[in-house]
Amino acid sequence: MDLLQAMQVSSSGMRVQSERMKVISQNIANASTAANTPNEDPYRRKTISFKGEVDRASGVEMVKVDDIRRDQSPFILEYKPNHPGADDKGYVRLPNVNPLIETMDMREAQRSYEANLGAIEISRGMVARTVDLLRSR
Amino acid sequence: MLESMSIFNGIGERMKFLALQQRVVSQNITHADTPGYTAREVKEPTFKKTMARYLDGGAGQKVSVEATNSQHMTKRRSVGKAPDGAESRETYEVSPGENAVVLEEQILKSSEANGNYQLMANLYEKHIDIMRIAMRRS
Repeated sequence: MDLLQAMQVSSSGMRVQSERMKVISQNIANASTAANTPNEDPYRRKTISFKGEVDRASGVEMVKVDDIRRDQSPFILEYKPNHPGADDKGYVRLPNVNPLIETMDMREAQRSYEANLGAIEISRGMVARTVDLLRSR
Repeated sequence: MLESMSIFNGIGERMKFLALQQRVVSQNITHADTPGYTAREVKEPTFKKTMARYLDGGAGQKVSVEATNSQHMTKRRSVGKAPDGAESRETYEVSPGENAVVLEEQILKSSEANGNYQLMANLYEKHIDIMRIAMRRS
């Protein structure tokens, strides 16, 4: 029973890290998405946060996505006078995405995902070994 | 008959504890990035407390599984005691720790729990084999 719950918890962790990867991928893909007119906003970086959720019956704490919000830090300005989105001084506003930060975030998401996967493997091995006790010899 | 043999129960209890340990570790690993989460841990039961449940005909035993039908097998027979249906896992506390999760530590604990669990399962099998040999001879 505990081992099955262990696998459920680990899988909730994996699900949440996949969501995180989705957000990171969107940020990276849209890192250069500037607006086409000076009045529009370019792509604004997304952030994701997690929260714990205790399952009343078992006392096990699963993890869930809390919220996906937009990073409110200022846009990056770049001098591109011929760009359709350039303002009257010739500056274009680019998304507030730092590719280095996104890459590090991605590494961390991957590490957590693999740790959860490893935990599931171990739990599964323990269950398999127990079922093996029934094997007749 | 098997339930009254303390060695099988002792091994079974140990395996249950290790499964709980694995569950707590899995939870810690899952919440490595959750803000405000502190690592949980399970306190090791002492061998003495565990065996007290089975020695002296269960004199140290406090809880047992409720049987609704006399033909149902309970996990342990408590002779002359009214079953109260409480879950035996209450004796293991899961306490919140004070630090955030250190992933490497949790992975190590998980490997340890797994290794011990496999060992216990092997021991269990070994004892069943011995019983089988003894029964064959008689």
